[in-house]
Amino acid sequence: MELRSLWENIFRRAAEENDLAALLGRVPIFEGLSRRDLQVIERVSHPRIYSEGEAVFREGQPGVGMFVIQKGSVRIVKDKGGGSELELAVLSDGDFFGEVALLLDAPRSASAIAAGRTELVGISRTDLIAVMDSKPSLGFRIASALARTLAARLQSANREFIELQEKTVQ
Amino acid sequence: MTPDAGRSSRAFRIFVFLLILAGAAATFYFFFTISLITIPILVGIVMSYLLEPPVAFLERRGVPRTLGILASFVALSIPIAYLSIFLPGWIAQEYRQLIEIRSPQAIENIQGLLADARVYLIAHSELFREGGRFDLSDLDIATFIVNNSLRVLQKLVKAAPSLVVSYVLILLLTPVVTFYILRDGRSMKAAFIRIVPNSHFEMSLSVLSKIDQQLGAYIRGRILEGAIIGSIAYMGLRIGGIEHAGFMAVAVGTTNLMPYVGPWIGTIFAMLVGLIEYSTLAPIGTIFGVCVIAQLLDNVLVGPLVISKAVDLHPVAVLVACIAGAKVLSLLGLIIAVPVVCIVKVIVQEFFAGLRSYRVA
Repeated sequence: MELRSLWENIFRRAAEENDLAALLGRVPIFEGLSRRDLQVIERVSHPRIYSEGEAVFREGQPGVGMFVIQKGSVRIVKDKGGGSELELAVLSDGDFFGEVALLLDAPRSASAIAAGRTELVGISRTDLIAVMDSKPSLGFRIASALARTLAARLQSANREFIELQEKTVQ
Repeated sequence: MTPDAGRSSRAFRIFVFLLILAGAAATFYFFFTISLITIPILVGIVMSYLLEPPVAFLERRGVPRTLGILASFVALSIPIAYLSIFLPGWIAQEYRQLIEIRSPQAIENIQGLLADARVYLIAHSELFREGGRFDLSDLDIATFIVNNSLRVLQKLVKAAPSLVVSYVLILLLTPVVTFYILRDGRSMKAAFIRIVPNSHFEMSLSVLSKIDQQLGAYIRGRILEGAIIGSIAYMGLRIGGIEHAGFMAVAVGTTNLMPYVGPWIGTIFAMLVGLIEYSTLAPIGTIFGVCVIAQLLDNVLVGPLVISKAVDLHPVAVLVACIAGAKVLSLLGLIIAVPVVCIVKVIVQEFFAGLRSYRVA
């Protein structure tokens, strides 16, 4: 399983990485960036292929960066102990995950497991920071988009928390 | 994971580990046997770490990276061109002063010193008299010195053509290697990451960025430290009214690249130059004092500020590295051995730290 994805990662053809810049442009963090800026991000992104059941990362491991799903799907699961796990979400084409690692040098809060053959694009925190540092105006746009994304997440978490509180009171 | 899958995964990891080990051994063998290729690569890596800050500075101000690299090259070529015009004349002048004018007198003084020692030894111990274990009665010190000096000189003359060819090749290859490391460093990293198995993907990204950070800080720190110590020694020697202060300061700054033993080699070299120039004890005392003060300032002020503690080496490791370096690449090997071992230490240290935190070992 691991061996097959290893060979696929080494020998995948450039044509298979069809228009990575366009895919990145659909990710909220990179939304509104010019084609040229997206190509700069593309240069520091790492396309990977995962087999069914293969872990992209595991809960508790240090987080290095975020992933964008190019093709396929990924299960986000949390270990409940005793071999059982809680499925938090199933993500598919165009979705992204692990973006908290772009801001925090903290352990992963859940595991990400490939559900079937999945093509991902990984972007590390240090590479993205290097790009943001070398091109300050691009860096500003990415940082504000990242802040907007996280603010939207916080807003939705707040809403869910209030709903949950209301249900508990009733 | 089933027991079978677990076994095959373990076997795969062992296979990859053995492959990496074999690759590392082959790389070391290759590099150490073909030093002509090793030196431009090593110097290219060092140069790219030194030029990265100005290139990044220009890039931040909107200059395309390739143009920024070329601009840094042009900026660097001005002092290099100046040095290549100024250095040969300076070296020739120092050589004439030290070897042609001062040496005969110095050799005479040293000969006199040795002759006195010989007379003293023969007078005071049976061992050194005729028929004794270390018979010195027939030894002609002047002939002994001339013969040995000639042998060293002959060796140098014989080695000169190959040394010149090597240095010309190194001078031609190094800028090319530096340019491509600076321009395509990110693509080289991406190509390397591509061959890493998925289970080690995040770990590799983390380890590579830490190695890059540590190496950059170490290489820039060491060279900055050498320059500061060289400048301190130069100022001290000029204040002390010592001749050849520049020559001695360059030696002190360069040998400072080696921790522990380097500063002493530089000090001894400077004292030898002083011995040839003055043949009296007072200036040699001044040189020794200045070098010791420079070393103290290095240990107390400069070193802790510019060099990371993470790359500290045990004195025994430094000694072994120096001996191995000298054996493989002679004088250059002696100077670069410790920095190279530190680079390897950072790589191994970060690799195993990565394995531990990702629990894949």
